[in-house]
Amino acid sequence: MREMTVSELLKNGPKVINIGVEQFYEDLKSQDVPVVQLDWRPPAVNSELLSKLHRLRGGGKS
Amino acid sequence: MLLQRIHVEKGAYYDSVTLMLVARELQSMEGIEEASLNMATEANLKILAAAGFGVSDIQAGQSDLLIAVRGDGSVLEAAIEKARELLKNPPGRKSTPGEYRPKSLDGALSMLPEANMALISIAGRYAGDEADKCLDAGLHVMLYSDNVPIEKEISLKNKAKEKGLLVMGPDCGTAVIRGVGLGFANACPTGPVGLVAAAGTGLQEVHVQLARRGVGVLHAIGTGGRDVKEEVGGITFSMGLEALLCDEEIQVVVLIGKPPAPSVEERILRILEGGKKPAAVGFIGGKASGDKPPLYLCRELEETAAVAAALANGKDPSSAREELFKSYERLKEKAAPMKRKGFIRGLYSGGTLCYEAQLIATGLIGSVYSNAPLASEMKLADSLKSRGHTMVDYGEDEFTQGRLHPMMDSTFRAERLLSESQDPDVGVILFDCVLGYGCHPNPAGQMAEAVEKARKKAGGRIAYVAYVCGVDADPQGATEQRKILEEAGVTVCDSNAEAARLACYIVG
Amino acid sequence: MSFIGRSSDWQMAPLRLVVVERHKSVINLRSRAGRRYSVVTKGEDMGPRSILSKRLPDWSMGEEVMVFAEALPVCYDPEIPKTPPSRRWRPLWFEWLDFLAEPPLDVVGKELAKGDLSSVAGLGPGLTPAGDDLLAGYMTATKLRGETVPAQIFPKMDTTTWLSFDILRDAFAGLVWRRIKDLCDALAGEGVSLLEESLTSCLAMGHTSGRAYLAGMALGFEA
Repeated sequence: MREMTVSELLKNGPKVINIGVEQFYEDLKSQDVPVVQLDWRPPAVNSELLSKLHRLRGGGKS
Repeated sequence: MLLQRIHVEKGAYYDSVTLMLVARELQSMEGIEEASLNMATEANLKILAAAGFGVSDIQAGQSDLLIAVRGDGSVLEAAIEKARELLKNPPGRKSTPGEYRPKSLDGALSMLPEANMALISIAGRYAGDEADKCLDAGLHVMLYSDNVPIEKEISLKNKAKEKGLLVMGPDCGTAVIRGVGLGFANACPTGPVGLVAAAGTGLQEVHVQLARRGVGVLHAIGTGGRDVKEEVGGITFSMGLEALLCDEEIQVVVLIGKPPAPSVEERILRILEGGKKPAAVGFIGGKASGDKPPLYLCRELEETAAVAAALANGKDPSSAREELFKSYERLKEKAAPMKRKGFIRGLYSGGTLCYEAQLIATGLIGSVYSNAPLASEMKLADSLKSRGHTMVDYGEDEFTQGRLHPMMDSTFRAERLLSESQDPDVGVILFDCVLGYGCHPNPAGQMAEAVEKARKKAGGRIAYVAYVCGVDADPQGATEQRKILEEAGVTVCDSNAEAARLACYIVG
Repeated sequence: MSFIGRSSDWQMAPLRLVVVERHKSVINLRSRAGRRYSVVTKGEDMGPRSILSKRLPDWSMGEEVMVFAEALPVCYDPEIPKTPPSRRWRPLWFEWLDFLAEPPLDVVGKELAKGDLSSVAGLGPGLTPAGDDLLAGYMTATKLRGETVPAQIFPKMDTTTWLSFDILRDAFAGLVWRRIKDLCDALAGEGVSLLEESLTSCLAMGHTSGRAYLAGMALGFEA
């Protein structure tokens, strides 16, 4: 488990997964912060098809 | 002949900023009078109806996108096509070659295994669950999103506390960790000060005022406005404060926010006292009931910064405070040649700045009406219609539905400036210009343009007073922004408190 | 002649070929034996039986040409690498299956959900039908894992286009295009930027080819 305390966060600086507004991702990049932009989608409309497809995956989602 | 069309794009999701930018592109098209892109939530359907669009036949749910256009019948189809094109390649997205955007949290973690926090700014109705997933994955969370139910906030923070993780928010627009600006934040230098703030622009103002005094901030932990309410119990505030008190790099602690619930305030002060670090406590508008050195209780933002700066520099905070208030007195001389008769109209993009301005004004010229008033009897019946002395917070929900946050775009505010300038009973128009990451590239320009138009019509009848909340290292550049305003005939002050006072002395 | 290099499987003997397709930067030709040969102008478009050229020869459609590749240096080896993907990237390839849940690939997704992999052959949008790209990706992933591709998933020739069938034959034989090979190398390693670049490059293939191929790879990795 990756859990990191508040003190460790303050000591190491932020390494961010940005979920939402692009501008924040760009701003973090411009400050040389390690950041990934998550291409977030709401829970799927076609969820039945998705769950069928997911069952084709072996071993279950981690 | 003006026609309208609403196109439904099923199962699409785009964040509000993207939708706003695309709508703006459509509105600049020849023949298009009005364009609006919204997810088909009930609230948005109401807004569309209020804007004159016929929504009764729309078959769409909250996961569907509505593209609504009104204008010359011959261009409506083209406009909708353009919208769909733009959504594939959204404006404002600088697509860097070779960037893959994962669609799952696990995917993101595989690309950045050292990730320690998530910054969440998706729609409130989804944000809470996303935050839950991030906490489960062991990440700290900054929840910029608002409209997250308070029950969800409480359960998130309890879960986070158990895991030793921080939840900054909901409705936390600003934070700084090791000098890195998250959300709306200013590019100030780092130093020995640590902030905990339950107020976004309150954080920014203190951050900037400390920088003005040559004092840097290493961390500024935002908690969201509701954290210090009784029900939430200040969970994040306490965790943040405790972390700063144990941090060797932090010499001075600063607390900022509107006054917490009494039990929460008590808990916070107890933690603070136990930490034995010098501190400036800025519960804005609270009953500053006497300093207990090294704890200093302040009522205003610049005051809090002045006291904290003195603590950081080993100077006497009481003298610093005295000098500051003396300097405010000198504003009366500055106001003398600018005297005007009439009301003050304040137009704010920063909520805490508006709040502080009302506090100061109430003490100097009497009650102030607002859409976010100090007392319920001063609430405006119609937020778009001023009455007497009025100060409006443009960041309130009623104004941000279907619109960019005022710190990202001052168009709506600028329109109000123009209409206020036509009111013969107005003596001073007062406003803020907040700079930094996430904000509009030229907020001063937007407001200055409106001021120039207003002066053409109203001449010198009205005085314009502003405050630029920012530093030179901000993307917009504070000095340039000030210049733009001054050239338009605006008197620019050095703090929010100064600007509010100057405006009061001009009419009082 | 502006030929710069060839793939290692382009035979040395002179070849008689007929031009069957002309695109912006690729010419596809057909040999007497019915196989596809290509002339490309961009390195990343190299694949099995390809020649890299400074510019496209001005051959016309249907024209019969003789190509002498003997003197050309080898600049690409289309054989699939022997390295399985790192488990680290598993959450990412899980995402690729989701490409099949939305239009325009959901027609393939729905067929696939019925359970029969081979029935997606010839199905879906694209110059090479998306279902075929999916099968090709599946075969590539299977071989990367060091497994054998079950013969029954290989479609009949008349279920799809000539070009697509040829690509499937290559995939079955373990021969891949440059972008795919780069992706396989990146998946075997731990470097994020290398993987990002190769993923972006693959996703840029055709309108749907890239996504369908990646979805197929995900299936193959998880089979």
